[in-house]
Amino acid sequence: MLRNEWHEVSDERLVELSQQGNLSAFEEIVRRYKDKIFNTVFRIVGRREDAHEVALDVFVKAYHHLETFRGDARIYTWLYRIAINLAKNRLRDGSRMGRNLGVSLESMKEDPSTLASSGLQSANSPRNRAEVRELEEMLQCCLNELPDELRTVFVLKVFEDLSYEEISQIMNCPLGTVKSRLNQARSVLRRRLTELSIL
Amino acid sequence: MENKDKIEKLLSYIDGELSPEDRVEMEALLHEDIQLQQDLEAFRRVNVLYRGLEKKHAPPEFEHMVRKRLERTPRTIRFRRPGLKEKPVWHLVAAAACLMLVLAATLYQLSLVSRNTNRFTVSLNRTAADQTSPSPAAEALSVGQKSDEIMPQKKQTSAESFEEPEPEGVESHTPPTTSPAQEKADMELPQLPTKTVDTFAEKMSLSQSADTKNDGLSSGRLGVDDKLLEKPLARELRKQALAKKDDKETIRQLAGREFIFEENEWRERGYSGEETLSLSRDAKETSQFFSQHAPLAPILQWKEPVVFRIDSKWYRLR
Repeated sequence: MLRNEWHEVSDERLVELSQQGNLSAFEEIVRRYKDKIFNTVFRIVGRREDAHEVALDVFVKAYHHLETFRGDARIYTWLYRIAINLAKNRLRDGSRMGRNLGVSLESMKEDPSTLASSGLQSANSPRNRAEVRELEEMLQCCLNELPDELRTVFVLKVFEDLSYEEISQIMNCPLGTVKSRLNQARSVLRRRLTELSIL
Repeated sequence: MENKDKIEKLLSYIDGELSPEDRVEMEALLHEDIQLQQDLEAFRRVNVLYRGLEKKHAPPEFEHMVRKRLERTPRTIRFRRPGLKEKPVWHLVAAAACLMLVLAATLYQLSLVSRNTNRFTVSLNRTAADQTSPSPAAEALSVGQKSDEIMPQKKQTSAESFEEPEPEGVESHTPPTTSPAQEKADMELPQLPTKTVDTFAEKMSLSQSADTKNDGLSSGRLGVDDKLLEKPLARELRKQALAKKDDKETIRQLAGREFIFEENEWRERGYSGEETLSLSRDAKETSQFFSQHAPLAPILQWKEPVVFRIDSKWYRLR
């Protein structure tokens, strides 16, 4: 099968073929979900290098454990679950090694007024690009400050636009817990961003 | 509606997770509540800010890297029958290890049994020989008695192999001792035809005859049931005998009472010098007294005076 012909094959069929050892089929799954997984992991671990390693591990692990995938959920839900677990492990290892994830927020608070006046809409303007990058880093720092569980729910909802139901499946927790964590995460971020005069 | 509930509903509204009815209700609420409108604006802004962040993409060579890693560690495809759960290998390993342990323990027990049986046979040979004629071992016994004074710790070791039948109801006992020399002699005796001892009474008679000849030094071994010797319980009994011997028999128990040997007499625990009523072992009244207090009757056989209490009165049996 040619590479572009894989586009028409459903996720379920790709999984079935992959389970039979078809590496090309699995490659198509990687192609479909690599950016989503990479972005999610990046927002959780906060470092590109870590995100890269974790995302690679996600797909390798998924391939080696494909036989345990029963097809009850969508393949991407399963991939997200693996990604979340590996990202958490990476965070735990990082904190055990005393590694500082991302840029320090304190170092960015020197001139919040410029940040407040800037908006992401102005990112297209070359003259504001540096400021926008700074704002991005600041937002990521605020995200990194959240406890792991709150950050994960927030990332899955806001960045990946998953439903509460899907998030509860991925995180293996009740729907009410998802709601409450999401509300907590938003409230904390709102307060923090207000303090930094970003809101 | 409480503020917390309002915020929760508001966030569900932002996420599009409200039912159509709740959505209408929330919109009506937003028209009235200015604070809620501000909250809505703030939370939407948080979403916009984060959603506006640049999407991070995996590097272009990502698929290639995944493929390379997968080719390096190919997956073993296992076809399983549905419903058949795979058991890890370590289960088998653990089961095998348990089996080996049990086997080893059984073999060890068997070796102990055979060792104890041999020892008991030798002991019987020795006693049978004593009954018929004085043996070199009997001569060695007297040497052994002397050597006890020189090597007390050896004496303790030899005491391990003795048990003595006790008077009924008396829980304590004094294991008779044997000398290292006799022990050695026991082990070195030539193999005589083994005498079969069928009944406990027969063993006892053998034991008593040995007592008269050897000052009770070898009676204990015959006092123990031979089946008992074949079991670890025999070892335990020997240990107990040894432990009690270590106490130099300062404590006896009888009918749930404890007697302590102090100032050459047995005193029931709790006695602290109170006045006592004297009882003589030979007096008729004493026999009558003990017929009324039968559980304590065995103290009549004790050699030393005994102080005991009945109905808050203390008695001294002389």
